[in-house]
Amino acid sequence: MQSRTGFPVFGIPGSCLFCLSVEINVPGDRPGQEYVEVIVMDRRSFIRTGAITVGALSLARDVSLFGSTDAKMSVIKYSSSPTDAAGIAKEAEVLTRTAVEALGGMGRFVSKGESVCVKPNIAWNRTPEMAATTNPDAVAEVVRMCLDAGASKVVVLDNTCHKAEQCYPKSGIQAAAEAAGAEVILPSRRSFRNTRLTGAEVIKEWELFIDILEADRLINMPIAKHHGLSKLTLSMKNLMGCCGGNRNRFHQNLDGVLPDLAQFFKPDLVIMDAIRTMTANGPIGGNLADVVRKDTIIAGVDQVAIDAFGASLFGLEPAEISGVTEGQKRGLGTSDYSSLNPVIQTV
Amino acid sequence: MWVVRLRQTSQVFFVLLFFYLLIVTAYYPINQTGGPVSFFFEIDPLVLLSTWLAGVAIPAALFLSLIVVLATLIFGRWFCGWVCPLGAINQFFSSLTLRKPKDRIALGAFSPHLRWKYYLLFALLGGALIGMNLIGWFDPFSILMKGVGLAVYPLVSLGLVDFFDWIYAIDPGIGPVRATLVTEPVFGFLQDHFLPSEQPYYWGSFLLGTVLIAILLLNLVRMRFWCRYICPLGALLGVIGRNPIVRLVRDEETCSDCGLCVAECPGAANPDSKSWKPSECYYCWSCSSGCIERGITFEIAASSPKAAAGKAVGWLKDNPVSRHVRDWFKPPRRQRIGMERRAVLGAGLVGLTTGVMASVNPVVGQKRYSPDLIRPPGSLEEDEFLAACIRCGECMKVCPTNAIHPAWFEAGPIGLWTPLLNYEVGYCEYDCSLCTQVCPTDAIKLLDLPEKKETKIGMAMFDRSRCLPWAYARSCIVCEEHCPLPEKAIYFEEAEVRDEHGEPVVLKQPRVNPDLCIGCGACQHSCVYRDEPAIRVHSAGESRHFDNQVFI
Repeated sequence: MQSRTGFPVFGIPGSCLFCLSVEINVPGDRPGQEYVEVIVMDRRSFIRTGAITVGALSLARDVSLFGSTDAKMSVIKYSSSPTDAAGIAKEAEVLTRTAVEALGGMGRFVSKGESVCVKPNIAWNRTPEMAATTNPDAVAEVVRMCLDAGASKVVVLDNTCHKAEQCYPKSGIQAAAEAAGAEVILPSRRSFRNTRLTGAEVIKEWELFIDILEADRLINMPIAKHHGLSKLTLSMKNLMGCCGGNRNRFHQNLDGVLPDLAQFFKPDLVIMDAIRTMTANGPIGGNLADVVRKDTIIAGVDQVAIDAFGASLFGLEPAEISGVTEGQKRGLGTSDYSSLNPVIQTV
Repeated sequence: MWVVRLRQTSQVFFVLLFFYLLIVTAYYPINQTGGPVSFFFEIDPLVLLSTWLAGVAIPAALFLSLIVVLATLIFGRWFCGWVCPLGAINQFFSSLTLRKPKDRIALGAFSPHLRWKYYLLFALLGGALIGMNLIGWFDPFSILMKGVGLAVYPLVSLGLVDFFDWIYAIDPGIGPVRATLVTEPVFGFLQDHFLPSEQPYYWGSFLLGTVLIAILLLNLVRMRFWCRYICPLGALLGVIGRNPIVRLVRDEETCSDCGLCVAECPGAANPDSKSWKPSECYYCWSCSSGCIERGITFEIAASSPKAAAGKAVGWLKDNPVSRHVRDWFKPPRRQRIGMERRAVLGAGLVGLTTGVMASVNPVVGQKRYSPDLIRPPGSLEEDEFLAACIRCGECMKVCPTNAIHPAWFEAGPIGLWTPLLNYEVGYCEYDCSLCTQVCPTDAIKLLDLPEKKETKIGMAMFDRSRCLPWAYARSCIVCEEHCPLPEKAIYFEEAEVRDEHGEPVVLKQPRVNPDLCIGCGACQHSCVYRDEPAIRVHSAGESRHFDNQVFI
């Protein structure tokens, strides 16, 4: 078997126990191109089939006292708006923890011994105050909750738009996640593998971040903010950070591409940061005057509903946000978030 | 011999220091480099001299080179022997050539060709006088920085990363014992301390690497060929050190004329004769250590014999100091290398006239500007820039987004290897001012970050025949997304057009706001076209040129 670089490939590095991949030599659509195509079934169906042989690992679950494992969405707001760093950090931790517990606790999503990938938005070379990247303390809290639920390891990563070496430290996420016990992975040349996205309608195959494919669980942690093209960038758009290559081409048809990504990656949990929101000049921003505090975190399992709710936070209709209508049409969720009876709380 | 060992240690130290400073000429997360990366240029007297002659403001740090000048008045071209990293590398390569001792004596002999570097020096200085400062093409540190930093280092890094990625992919090993248990930690160490954070690619690196390799290969012809016959810094130090205080002293009685000292001498300085040439001697002590009679030392000695007591030397009283100074201005015949004053002045004149001819062109005459010549933020006006830039490549090496490249002829032939921004390879990072920090001659003036963010280096323009919403009725505006300004310089107008099926479609059609655009190229770099982007930055609008403006 030949690899893309032309060196012989004898096998796959051993860590993808839960990743059923078959490597075949494929003549590409373009003449003369040959590459290793890893056909990966979408992770959800893998975990299900894998679970049959692996068996029930452990029934010990981190069940919260007040939440319910039936809840599909939670919206938690903070009662105050602290301006000091320590205050905001505490706010982020409390909101995140409460949002997950309202859904039944992290044990509902992560079982003992599983590996988790937390995918925040680290895309831009901005400090946390600029609200271009996910709140670092919220990310750290999610890492801690996963480890408490028995995760074997937690990786935190994003395929950034600006240089990763600048974005990871500047956003505060690298330091916060490492302090919480996560393995922070920077994208590099070997991070991506050409993969066929089964079930996709527009993007049939793309280079995807290997560490995400190989994790057992995926927690998508976007930050809600303004975006010139899609009006807002919310949870489905955040999945673009799982892709490599020339993904700026996705913008020609975000309505088609975002549901492709959403249905392929199917995050186990989505936690959306709306503590600080950028209301104009997104997605990079750069003007503190555009950042508005909403002091809210939304968590849930329905990506379409979460994006629809996110629209309402900015006073927009769900249908105005790229991917929501199409996502609902494809059965990925509902834009009628109130029908899910979200747990709404102020702490 | 212990002095030789000391000298070799010094050479190794400065070579390692040069490479270390080269490696840390890079981005560290707080918009600064990893050390005093311009050090070698700051101690380079040729940089100080040419910057002064070219009439541009001299950064204070360059005066550090006066220490080298002072030491050269005392110890001659010790700098070439003990400090210069290119000299050390040349000496090392010379030592690899295998020759019979008999041939080495012939090849180590003094020759009139040693004059050529002085002619080159004066031609370059003549050109600098008129603002055509081409020192940077011949300065050894410039050559080393460009050749290593922009060619060899990227190549080595590519090779190493390819190697470690290959081992990772094939994962060889037996059972639980895998090669990656060793290679991955080594790779991690290299990534933390040696490798660049992202593989850099430079247009023109092939030529730069070839120039460096050619210089190294010249050592097959003669030992330290570059240092003997071409190096203008060596020539300048030779002029300053033409009558040093510490001199080679040879015991003429015990000397058996074996010629071994000549065979060892890298500078062809005639250590075996009364006509030792101080301006060609690197004070490397190889002659001394090669001498079987132990007859050569370096000591404080007189350049001329003691004159009769009381005799006047010009208008000064005769004493060792005044004799020494006189001998500096008019060296004794035997220690001169035989250049005629006419030839030296002629070389200077050649440089001067070439400079005059080069300045008669529309770009430098500032009537027209080259649209592709986008200079780093903080750059001087073009004619001053060409006079101040020493083509060292520091800005190209430090740029974290690999946006700065050596020019080919975009700035005219004189502009070869000056920096320009290439937005297909990189873009000018908004929160970065590193290029302004590393320029040794302030051809790129130091800017603090807020100043840099206001500096315009060009302006973006849309190619509506390619841009998707304009030409193909498809959505895009990735350029707008990537514009880093807090208030974006790209805005859009919603327009309804008909697509290929005749269906109406509402599109966001982008335009550039000329008042806001700073020409950073993030838009051009992010454009979906991988061949020719549909939004391109041109130099019009750059703040450094009052005339190269469009909008009022």
